[in-house]
Order: sequence, then C-alpha cells, then structure tokens
Amino acid sequence: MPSPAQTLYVRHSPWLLLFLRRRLGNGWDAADLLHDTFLRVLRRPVEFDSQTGERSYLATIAKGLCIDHWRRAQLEKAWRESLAAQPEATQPSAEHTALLIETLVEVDAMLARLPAKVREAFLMAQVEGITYGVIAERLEVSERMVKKYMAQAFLHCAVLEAELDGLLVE
Amino acid sequence: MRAAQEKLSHASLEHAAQWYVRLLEEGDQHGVREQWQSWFDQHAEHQAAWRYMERVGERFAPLRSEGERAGRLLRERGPARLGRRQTVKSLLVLAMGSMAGLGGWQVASRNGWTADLHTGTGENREVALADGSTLWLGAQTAVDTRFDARQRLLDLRFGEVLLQSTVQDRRPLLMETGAGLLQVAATPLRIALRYAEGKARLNVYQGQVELFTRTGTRALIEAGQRVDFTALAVSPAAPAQVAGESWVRKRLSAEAMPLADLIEALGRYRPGHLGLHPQLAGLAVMGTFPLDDTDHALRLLEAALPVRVKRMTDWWVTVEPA
Repeated sequence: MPSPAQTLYVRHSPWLLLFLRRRLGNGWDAADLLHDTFLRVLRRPVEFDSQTGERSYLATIAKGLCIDHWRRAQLEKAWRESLAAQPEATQPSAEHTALLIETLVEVDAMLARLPAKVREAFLMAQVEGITYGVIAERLEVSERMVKKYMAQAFLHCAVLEAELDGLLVE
Repeated sequence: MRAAQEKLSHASLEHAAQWYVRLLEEGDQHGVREQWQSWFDQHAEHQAAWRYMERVGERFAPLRSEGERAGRLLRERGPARLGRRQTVKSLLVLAMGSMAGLGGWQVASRNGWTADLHTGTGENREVALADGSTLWLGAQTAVDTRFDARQRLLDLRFGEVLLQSTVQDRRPLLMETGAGLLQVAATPLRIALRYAEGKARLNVYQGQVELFTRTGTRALIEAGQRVDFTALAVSPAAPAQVAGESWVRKRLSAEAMPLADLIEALGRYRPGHLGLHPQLAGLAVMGTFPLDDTDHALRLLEAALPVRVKRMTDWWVTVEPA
C-alpha cells in the first residue's frame, strides 16, 4: 500500500509544478519548491475531507514558499553584490556565505514588522555593535529611548520565537 | 506525557527583554547580575522567558562577523509588507539556525521547558514509546513526540538520543532536528542522534536511515556509518562511533575525540560552568570516562593530557594548558 504522502504526491505534483513554474517563471526553482512543499506536508500531516481541500492546502503552502523565495532571492542578490565590491583575497568561503545569507533571511523576516526606528536601533546595536550613545545621536533620540527600542525589539522577536514553538503567549 | 500545559505570559517576556537590555548594557556593574539572578531564580516561567531572549541573541550572532555590511544591508531594505501570519510562516520554513554563543552569561537555561520528554544536567532517561520502540535521552535533552494514525514523529529539539526499534509498523518513523529530517528506511534499527547549535551527528548501528537536510540535500546512511550534517550539507560517511551510544551506560568512550567535544559532553553531566581554553579544543583524546563522576573524569584527563583543571569554585571549572 502506498504511503499517504506518496498518494498525495502522485495526485497533486503535476498541477502544482505548473502552478509554481507560472509564478516563478523558471523550472529549476519550481522543482525545488515542489519538493519543499511536500516536505512540509510530510513533516506536519493534516487530515483532509476532500481532494479540493488537499489542493487549496498545498496551494497555500506553495504560495507562502514563493513569497519567501522572492524575498530571499532579493537579499541574496544584494549580499553577493556587496561582496563583489570587495577585493578577491578577502572573499569568504562559499559555506560561510551560505550560512550568512540564511541568517540574513531569518533576521529580515523577524524584523519585518517593526517600526523603522526600532528596527534601525536594534540592527545597529545587535549586528553592527554600535553603542547606545552613538545610536541615540544618529537617530536623534535620547539614550533612554534607544533602550526602550531595544527592549521592544527583543520582545517582538521573542514573541515570534515563542509562537514558533507553538507556545501561546497570553 | 506532557508535564503541564505551560503558558508563557506576555509580561514575563517583557520583563525578560528589559533584563536582557540592561545586562547587555551594564554587565557586571551596579550588582545588575545579582538582581537579574534573583529574578531568574524566582520562577520557572522567568527561566523559560529568558531562554527566548537567548535564542533571539543567538539568531543574530552569525551576522556579527560581517556586522557593518550586514547591518547596513538589512537597514536599507526597510520594513516589509508581510502580515503577521506570513512572518511566523516564513520563520517556520527557515532553519532554526546556527546557534553560536552570545558569551558568558549564556550558561544558564536551555531547560526544554515545553518539550514532551526532557532531561536536566547529569540525567539520563529511558522511555518506552507508544509503538514499543525504546528511546534513551542523554543529559540536557528535549524531545517532542507526535504519534498519530499517519506517522511516528520524534522531534529532537536539542541534546542526544539513542533509538532502538524492532517494531513492524506501517506508519513512517521520522526524526526531526533543526538541521534536517530522518526517515527510518529499514528495521531492526539502532541509531544515535545528537543535535546542538545547528549541527547534528547521526550514528547508525543497525538498520538504514534516509536523511533530508533542511535545504533539501538527500543521503542514505547505512548500518555502521556516521555522518555530521547541518541544514546546508552532509559530511562524507565515516565509521560509526562507540561514543554515540556508550553514554547510555554512563560511560563516554572517546576514540580520538577532540577535547572540545569531550568537555561539551562532560559539561552536560556536571552542574555549573565547565570551560575549555580555546588552544586545547582540537587535542585528540582516547579513553573511557565516567559520566556519573565528572570529577574523576577530569582527574583522568589531567593524568593523560598536558592539561590542568583550574577550579575557581565547584561551579566554575576550566581546563587549561598545563
């Protein structure tokens, strides 16, 4: 007897591949995202009432993956361009670059909804290692305000982390 | 098997965030650490909230080596039009990430507060799973179990497990980590899996396992083989190591094991801080060390290697060049 995941794959991969190819305009990425979509379903199986239910569930996952894919592609391009501007001798290894891009994508998604100043303050302190005093000058706010921004950003990220764990935050 | 339906209040996270910012800024001055410690010790929920602050800190850590460039790039992108649900979904897709350390006061916590099965420092546990398989948890380990009509899923959040199964069952047996997903391809099975800070190590003693990393790399691991993997890559297969399962008998069998790995393992069986001088990290260690008597293990190390064990207190021990 084929496993439920196999059945799902056989039934839906043809249209889903077309769907992804239309959105992404390229077959390689479409095949990758098709694989990712089914991997997601394999990890977190859901019971379906009907084939229509299966279709819309898969389409929702696939759409979300496309949005992530675009944001990621943008970031990756920007990062590689900034690397290209530096002398070849100091180029980091491919693995290091891949890890960095991975982290950039995560962090970017995490901070996406913060107000501009909070985001800026947080990135300057956490990533660039700039002191609160200097951040306060650059953003033209008090140092106390910078600390408030920092706590706000940490809280925001921690709430997302807790939601990732399925922990209800009251 | 869940200990309790824990919930984390927004207020606890808020307090934790304020403490985090204060500690980053003021560090050891003005007795801030002591005040923080008493807040931290006050309640399990405070400790759980703190763990999330550490996780946020860890998420940003890999960027610091390229701080200026990375910070500028992210700041220039400006805010996105992602909805809240999309944000959480995006993050779910992403690897849980490379967990580099933040620094000194990261020693506390990682208590796996919300996991179905967990062990603390120095604790091992043997669990009979619902399908008749046996799972052993090493020290400082957290595992979620999800067995239903479609699958048998074990989610290793962090730590070390040994899984033995002779069961014939139609449902796939899956093991998840932050670096990738394992699907058991043949039984009888005996495998050991370790996961920490974005890195996983799999030893297959019996059976066969199919591995999918988070970024989609596939590999088939046979009995007698060991691989290391991250979300990005799988190492070439090497012979399986005894150390992967000897901890079940509270022994650590090192076969040319880097001293850093040995110290990390001992640290999970010993309360307080156990540090290692970076210069010694790659030193190869041979021998068998007791995990239920780490003082003895440290004496054995001193006798065998050019190292000195320096004790500030019983709770703060570092291994340094002799």
